[in-house]
Amino acid sequence: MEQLYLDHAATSWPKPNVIKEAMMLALEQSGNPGRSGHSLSLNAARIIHQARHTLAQFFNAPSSAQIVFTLNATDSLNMAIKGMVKPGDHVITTCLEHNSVLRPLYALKNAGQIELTVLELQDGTVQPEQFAAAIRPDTALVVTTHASNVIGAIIDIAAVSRICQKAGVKLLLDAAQTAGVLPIDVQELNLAAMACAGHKGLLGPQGTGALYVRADVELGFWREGGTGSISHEVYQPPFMPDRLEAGTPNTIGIAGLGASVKYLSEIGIDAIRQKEAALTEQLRAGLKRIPGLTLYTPDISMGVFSINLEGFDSAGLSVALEREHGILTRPGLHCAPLAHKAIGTYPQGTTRISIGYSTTEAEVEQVIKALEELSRQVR
Amino acid sequence: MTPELDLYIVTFHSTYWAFEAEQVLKDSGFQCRLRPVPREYSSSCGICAEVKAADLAAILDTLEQHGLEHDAAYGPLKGR
Repeated sequence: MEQLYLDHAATSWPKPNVIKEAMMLALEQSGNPGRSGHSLSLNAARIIHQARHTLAQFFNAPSSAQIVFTLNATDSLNMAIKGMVKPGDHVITTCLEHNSVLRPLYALKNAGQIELTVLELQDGTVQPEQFAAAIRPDTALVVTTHASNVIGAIIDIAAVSRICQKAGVKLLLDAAQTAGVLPIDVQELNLAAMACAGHKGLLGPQGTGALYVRADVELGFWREGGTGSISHEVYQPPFMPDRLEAGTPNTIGIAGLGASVKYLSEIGIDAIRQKEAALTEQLRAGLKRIPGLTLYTPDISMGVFSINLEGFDSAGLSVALEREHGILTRPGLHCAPLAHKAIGTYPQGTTRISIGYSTTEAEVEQVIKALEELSRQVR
Repeated sequence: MTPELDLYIVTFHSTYWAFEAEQVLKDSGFQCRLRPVPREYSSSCGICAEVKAADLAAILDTLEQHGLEHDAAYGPLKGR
């Protein structure tokens, strides 16, 4: 049985061939970037420098120095959240957040460092007006996902940005589910920071992520260590990107990420979004026809669908989809407990079907047929 | 007399700016090789650009035109 991968919200698969070539080349030709000054060291530094430029261009960052490479979106979010908040700050976030946002924020709340407001689900998503209503004089930061990893609901980030700008509140965007799929212009959105994974919509390898930080936002130090700059000093350099990039980086992974983002740039974000949107509507229409299927994803969404099928536990449905149809999905709570509480699927969870750039119309038909068949079996 | 005597080095505040400068200088047709900073010069970054003495003024102009920060220029290099 051929495998059909529909777990792109977890990580994209398969990866484009261009990243394999770039990673192999980097593996063969990299010294420690920017440290030693010999040809292999310079090669590695150039690979990273080029990748930084490619990402800066992709997100329209004013300078590539404002882009730092991280391990993943979780790493980026922890750096941004913990580097931005000060004791006594009020922070606003949403019930749709992943634990990579919720856990750092709840840890800060629990330690008495911040006050936290969590916005509830309203008409399938979180509405911009809810942010406006929650802003207080002591609100310092809004942290929001661009789209839910559980139900695919999109938050109108342009409207949220206007609200934050008017109120003088910093906005941190979690673009883990949207980078590489929805257009993101960090200047137009006036983001204080943006966190993204390298291995999801950006099609890069696992173990890569990125964080954009606006030039006037001075993030607290995250980790201190070697940077290849001001080596005579025992203090971390204050300038970007060195400020946030201590230690030998994942040069091989970053080579892959640079290559995948270049590949996406060549295709163009509008073409990617159009293709994804067409497949999303095809899948939505198909899922709505299946008897006994509950669809939790709202009508305006990314290609991320949470479902339950009558007669199946969410894990059981994932197992049946793989064993009987070769279709790979994700069951359970998807690391977003508040989102599941909001849609009434806590603790049983949902089966999540998520499409990606490599998904085809025929594959979408295949998963719809498989679910129809499973639905017939239990009815 | 060794050819090194015709060379200057330009230092930068960080690796980032050294690689930004390399790209701009190469695109502008200058000869420019990145190398470790000679120990006799002080620099906040371990990598510097080795350039021809005759090009130095034009190179510093080019860097300024592109808004690229450099730290200092030293030379001519004496020996290896």
